[in-house]
Amino acid sequence: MRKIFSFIKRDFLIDTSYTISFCIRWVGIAISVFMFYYLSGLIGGKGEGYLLKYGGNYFSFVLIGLVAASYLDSAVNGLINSVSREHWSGTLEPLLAVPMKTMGIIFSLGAYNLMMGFLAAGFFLFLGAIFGADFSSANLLSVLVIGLLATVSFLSVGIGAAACIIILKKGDPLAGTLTNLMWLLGGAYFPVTVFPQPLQKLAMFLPSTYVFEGLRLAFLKGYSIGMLQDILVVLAGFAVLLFPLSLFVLKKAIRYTKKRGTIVFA
Amino acid sequence: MRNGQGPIGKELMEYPIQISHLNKNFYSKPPWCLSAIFSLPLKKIITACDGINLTIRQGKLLGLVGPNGSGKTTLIRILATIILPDSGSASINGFDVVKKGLEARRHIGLVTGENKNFYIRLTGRQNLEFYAALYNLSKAQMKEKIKYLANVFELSEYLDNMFQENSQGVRQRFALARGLLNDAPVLLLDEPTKNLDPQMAQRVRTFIREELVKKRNKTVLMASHFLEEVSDISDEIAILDRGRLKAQGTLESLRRQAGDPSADLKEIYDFFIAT
Ligand SMILES: Nc1ncnc2c1ncn2[C@@H]1O[C@H](COP(=O)(O)OP(=O)(O)OP(=O)(O)O)[C@@H](O)[C@H]1O
Ligand SMILES: [Mg+2]
Repeated sequence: MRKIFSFIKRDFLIDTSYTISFCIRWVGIAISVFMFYYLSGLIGGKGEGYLLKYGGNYFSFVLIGLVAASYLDSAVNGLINSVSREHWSGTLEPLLAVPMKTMGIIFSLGAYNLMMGFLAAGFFLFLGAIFGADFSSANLLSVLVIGLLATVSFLSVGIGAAACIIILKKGDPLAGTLTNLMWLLGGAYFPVTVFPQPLQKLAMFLPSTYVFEGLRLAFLKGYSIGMLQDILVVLAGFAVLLFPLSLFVLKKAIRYTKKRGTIVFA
Repeated sequence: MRNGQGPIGKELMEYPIQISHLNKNFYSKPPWCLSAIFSLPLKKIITACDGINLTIRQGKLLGLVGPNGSGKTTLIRILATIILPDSGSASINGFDVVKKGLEARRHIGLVTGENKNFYIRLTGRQNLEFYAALYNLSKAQMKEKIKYLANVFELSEYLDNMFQENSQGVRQRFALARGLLNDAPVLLLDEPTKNLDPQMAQRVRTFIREELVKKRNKTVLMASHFLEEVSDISDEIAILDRGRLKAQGTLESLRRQAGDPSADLKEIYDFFIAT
């Protein structure tokens, strides 16, 4: 635990040493909230048919999508980016010689970004509330449970992706594109129902679809755990399936690169 | 501090570093599309360790010399559990580096041959504190240790500079300090005096010899290209060439093996590397 905290502290110090970039990120969040606020004003009631299920307001609808997508992005890409950074700065060698499990080291590398993703999500919601999104009927327990299952599922995706990075060394722009696609098709910005049939089918296989759907129903319509049963079962399925799989893949990737002697290479 | 007593009997502890029949080949593959189009050979084999047998007695320093690419760094990385060997075995304080990697790591201090591997946006102190925490040092131990090591390697004035501002030699001194943070019983030093000015290099040699080996009874494997340094402070010397141990023993015994009782290490080195 203390070791994970050391990683978080280290990454915080590095992150804030780029003062301007650190500040701009928060401004960026404000800008996107602002943008979607006016966009939703422009749309007005036009999409109501699609949005009725979520209370009919596009701003509230898209805000939850943005919050979830940015948080999940920090779980997936946060880990990939920090592993890459470690490769490119050549700092993995002394790190791998400390008395920690190699798996534990890789996890800890993602901790700070996940935490920042969580804070950013909070900031998103806060700004959203200021701009008039209505969370008064939110069911917090449901939000929490979905958030937890989503975190496990997408950390698993991140761990799997990190395993690829450990072997391939460079994942962008592929990783970024794939995750963006996952947010888009999962319905972060529009309800999945606006897509043509084949894409809707595809969306059914993405965990993101269930996270967005579940979070919206919980946040905007106050659905209880019982009412969200179907979604929770699917999400739990993803978590139970993906987590051990991702650990297995990471273990293999570490072993393979330790054998090849390339684990510390960029 | 831990004093590195492993679970295994005392007779094993006599040799904190044990390497037997160790092999490591690297296969460097050309990108598969290129090899498919141009029918290049699929793999190029580089032998970095070729049946290495080596033991180092507790409280002794073994100097490892050999040409560029002879496998010194690879051997150190295998002992540090960063690379897995193909076959054979190696152990640190009785802990097998493959099967008991985590335990083996508890007993090593590593000074890598590379001094760039610090977080350049942090200060030297922040870097050392980060590693100290990973080595489970308490706040007080951390503070005391960093102060001590900064004093040994004359780093006090650089501790709070951003790391990227430091010159090569200062970075190397930080690398030495980092490797000694955990006060491990086994030290793996890859070119520890690289980039150091002559006086600092001498100071470091004296510190390794007098303080670490003689006084604190550390077991040290030190790779170096400075033959004088190696013959100066080593108890034993091993000569590595293309992954093979060409000779191993005290300077005296190497002289005998080379058939020249008055040879210096340079002459001995030339003798073994030429053949
Ligand atoms: N991961 C790897 N993949 C392919 N080849 C490698 C890998 N790591 C090392 N090698 C090769 O193995 C050989 C031994 O390298 P090593 O770094 O151990 O040599 P060294 O004795 O430390 O050399 P130097 O004196 O230059 O530091 C070299 O030919 C090197 O190119
Ligand atoms: Mg080397």
